[in-house]
Order: sequence, then structure tokens, then C-alpha cells
Amino acid sequence: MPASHFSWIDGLIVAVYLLLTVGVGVYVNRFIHDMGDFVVAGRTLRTRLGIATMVGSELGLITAMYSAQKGFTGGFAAFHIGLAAGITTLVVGITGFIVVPLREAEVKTIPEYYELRFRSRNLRIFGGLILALSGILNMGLFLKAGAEFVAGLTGVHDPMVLNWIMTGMIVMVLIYTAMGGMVSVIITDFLQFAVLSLGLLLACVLVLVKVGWGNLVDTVEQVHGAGGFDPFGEGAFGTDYVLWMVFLGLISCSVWQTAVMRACAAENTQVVRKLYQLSSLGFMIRSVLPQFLGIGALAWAAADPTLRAYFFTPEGAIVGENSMRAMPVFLSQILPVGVLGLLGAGMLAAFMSTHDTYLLCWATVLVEDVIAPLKGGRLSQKARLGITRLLLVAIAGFLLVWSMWYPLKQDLWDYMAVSGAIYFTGAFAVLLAGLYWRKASRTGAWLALLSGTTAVLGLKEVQGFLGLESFLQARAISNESLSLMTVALSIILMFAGSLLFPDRSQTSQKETLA
Amino acid sequence: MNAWATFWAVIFGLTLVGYAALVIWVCIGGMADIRSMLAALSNKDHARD
Repeated sequence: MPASHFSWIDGLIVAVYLLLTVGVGVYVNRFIHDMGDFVVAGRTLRTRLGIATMVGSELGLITAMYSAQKGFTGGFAAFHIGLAAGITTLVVGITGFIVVPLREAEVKTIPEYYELRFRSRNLRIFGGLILALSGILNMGLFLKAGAEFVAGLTGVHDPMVLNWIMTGMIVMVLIYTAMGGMVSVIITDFLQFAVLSLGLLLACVLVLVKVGWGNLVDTVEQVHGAGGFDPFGEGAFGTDYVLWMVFLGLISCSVWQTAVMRACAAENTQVVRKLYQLSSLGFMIRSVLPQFLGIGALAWAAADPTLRAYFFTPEGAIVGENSMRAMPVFLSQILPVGVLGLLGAGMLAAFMSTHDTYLLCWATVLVEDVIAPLKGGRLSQKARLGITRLLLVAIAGFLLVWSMWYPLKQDLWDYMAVSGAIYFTGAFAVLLAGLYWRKASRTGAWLALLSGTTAVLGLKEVQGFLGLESFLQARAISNESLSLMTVALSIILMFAGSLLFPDRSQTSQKETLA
Repeated sequence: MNAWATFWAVIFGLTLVGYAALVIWVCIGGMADIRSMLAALSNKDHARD
């Protein structure tokens, strides 16, 4: 592996920037007085800051890593993922689909909406548990991706040093998130948005100048053939994968709790719409720009004999397990001193920003939707804040352990899509029916949430454990088809369950009318 | 394949330019939004007192 160009100047930029981020986060602690301030920043979020925080938390180091990996392994055809996300977010912004009625309901979390709509505290507790567990599992490999990035960018490969760096960063995140809650998350997201965006734009321009568009196209053609351009073509992603990405695009902006939190924190529903319309570009670039860097890494690696031996087999196939490291190694070779530090600082701040949002989100869901309802709502504001802070530490501890031992057998993006699907397939069906269909019932909601958990079968580890791999291969059922089937099952059960088992209040209403 | 390559080149170019414009607009206006958010939270605190 060629030596990284990461210098002490870059290290200094990273250190100063990270300390500044933590300092700002700690400073805003003085503005936090209750759970409303802590979780939704007192609902004071305006459009431009909303966009920065929405894009800031969704465009994290992890997103950059898995997107770059997709660009490396899929070529230009991977751009369809970002395009689908951008278009669906724009449609959500124009129509207000799901997010506007949720903001109107003035809920802080989606499980809270379940209780409000279906008048079932148990449904809220179950929904909250599924959401938090799926979310924590989803972020389980963030540290692994972060370590890969640091190793690739700085050239530090000692696992012990990497573990200490990651632990130190998690501790910094915990300090400012536990103190400043959503207000510190919003401000640090804003800083991260500015620095990372500048770094990413500069990096893309430098790749265009140093590698050249024509060279990128030629390399993708050599390595991936026509499938590197046409996402529907033979040997490419395939129609079921593209459909799955369209659905994921819709979900990640309208049902995924971390994005919905922004809608819930917005000043009013007009801000929600504007926020989504303008953030659609952010949802698109968070895939497209890192994928472009991944394609740049592909061209660079294909032309360099040392890198070629590491990233490709002698037959010319990509070595899957090394592909995640391609983008940071590439950047460490082409970026000049200073720009490398700026991008490194932006990426690491993004890493922290994603962690703060996700940690806060899942800890809040566990407190507000599981623990407090179990206590019958008799939990003081002070106790809620205290438990949230304890949970932040506990989840961070779990992440450190999980990242170290889980053997990733698929692309990181696919792992995250499946682990998230455990929650969102059921949640999508419940929200769709709950918000737009008067007859949606509690039983239907229970069935939809329960059936959504079968999405866990999409994880390669689970398939191996249950001996499902050969069964699925024999029937040519891809992971994407399996996930789409789970979505369809949840929707069918939501509607069938509601028709067969209507809520008692609806039945008595009908009887009274008759 | 050429059509796809051209299509992705256009998408990438538009994304790059559009995002650069968005970043400038958000960075300038976001500072004002932060000030107003902190002021609103402070006022809320004073109202409680």
C-alpha cells in the first residue's frame, strides 16, 4: 500500500476542528431546560438551519464510506441510488406525504403517533422497542466504517490505535450530546455541513482535474462493462434493486426517525415542506458525490500496480472486503496538504454528527416510547433527561463491542438497508394507513409491525444461521426481492387486519349510525 | 452505453453546481437561524422566570 500523504498540518486541522465542535456542543447546554428543548430544540428550527442539520446528519462519514464503496463496486450505475433518493425527497416535500401530518400531530417520535392514532399504549411500547433495536443494529457498524476511513486516510493500520481513536471520538460525542441534546446536535451539524460540503466539493473538482472524466468512463467500462452504466442492464444492479432503492429513498426521508425528528422540530408545516424540497438535493448528493469519489478510486487503483494487487484479484475481479478502504486511500494520494486535513476534519466531524443524531434519537425513543409509557407516564422531566443520558452511554458501549465482532458479509449499504428495514417496513404500512385511511385499526398495526420484523432475514449472517442461503439461491430470490416482499406483506396485513378486525370504537360508531 | 454515460455526466454536473449554490445559501442564512434559535430558547427561559 503506498504511504499516505496525511501530514502533521492535516492532523492539526482535524484536532482543532474536533475540539471546536465539542466546545460549541458543550456551550449550548445552558439553553436546555426541559425534554422539549433537549429532543426537538423547542421546535425553533428554521429552513436554512433545518437543511444544514438534515443534510449534516444524513451526509455522514458512514454514508460517504458506503456510497463510495457502491461507486467502486458498481460504477456510474450506482448514481441511481442518489437520483432515486433526491426525487422521492422532492416529491415528499411537494406533497407533504407523511411528514406534514406527523408535524401537525405535534408528536416527537413515530411510536408516539401510534398511541395517539390507535389509542394503544402497548402498540407504542412495541413500536418504540422495534424502532430503537433496529436503529441501534443499523448503526452497529458505524465505528467499523470510521476505523476503515481513518486507516485509509492517515495510513495508521494498527488495530489497537484505531480502536482508541474511535473510542475517543465516541466519548467526545457523548459529552456534548448528553449535555446539549438537540440544540448542540443542530449547531454541530451546521458546522459539519459547512466543512464537509466544502471538502467534498473540492475533492470532486480535484478528481475531475487529476483523473479526468474520460479516464473514469474508460475504467468503469473495463471493470464493469455496460453494467457499470445501465442500472437495469445485465450484470448490473437489476430492476428489483432499483425499485428497492426508490422505496429506500422514500423511507429514509419520510419514515426514518432521524429525518422525521427534523420535521418534528420544524417551526411549522410550511417549513417542513420547504425543508424537504431543498434538502432533496442534499439527499441526492450524499450518494452521488461519494460514489463519484469511489469511481475515482477505482480508476486510480486500476492504474497503480500496488493498489491493483490489493483491490483486485489476479483475474481482475474486485476484492469485496477491501473495497470500503478504496476511497480514503485514494484521497490520501491525490489531495494536497491542507485539503486532506479539511476533508478529514469534515468527515470525522460528520462521523461524530451522525453518531450524536442517532444516539440521541434511539435513546429518546427508548425513554419516551418504552420506559415512560411502561411507568404509566409518571416519569419526571429530570428523570427522563437522566435516563436518556445513561442510555446514550449504554448504546455507545454496545456499538464499540458490536463493531469489533460482527463479520460483515455484504456491502455496508446493504447491511444498513436490511437492519433498518426491520423497523421501517412495518412502520411505513402503519403510517400510510394510519394517516390516510380512516378504517386503519390497532390489530392491523400490530400485524404490520410484527411482519416487518421478518426483514431481518435479509442479513447474510441470519440467512447462514437459518440455512436459508441455498434455498434463496435455488429460487433466484435476491435480498432486494426479499425486502420488497416484506414491505408488501406488511401493507397487506395492515389493510387486511384492519378490515377483518376493526377497532371497537369504529364498530360501535357504525352500529349507532345503523 | 454512451447514452447512459452522457446521462450520468449531466446528472453529476447539475448535482455539483446545484449543491455548491445550496451550500453558499445555507451557510450564510444558517448563521442567522442559529442566532434566532438561541434567542428563542433564551426568551423561553426568561418567560418561565
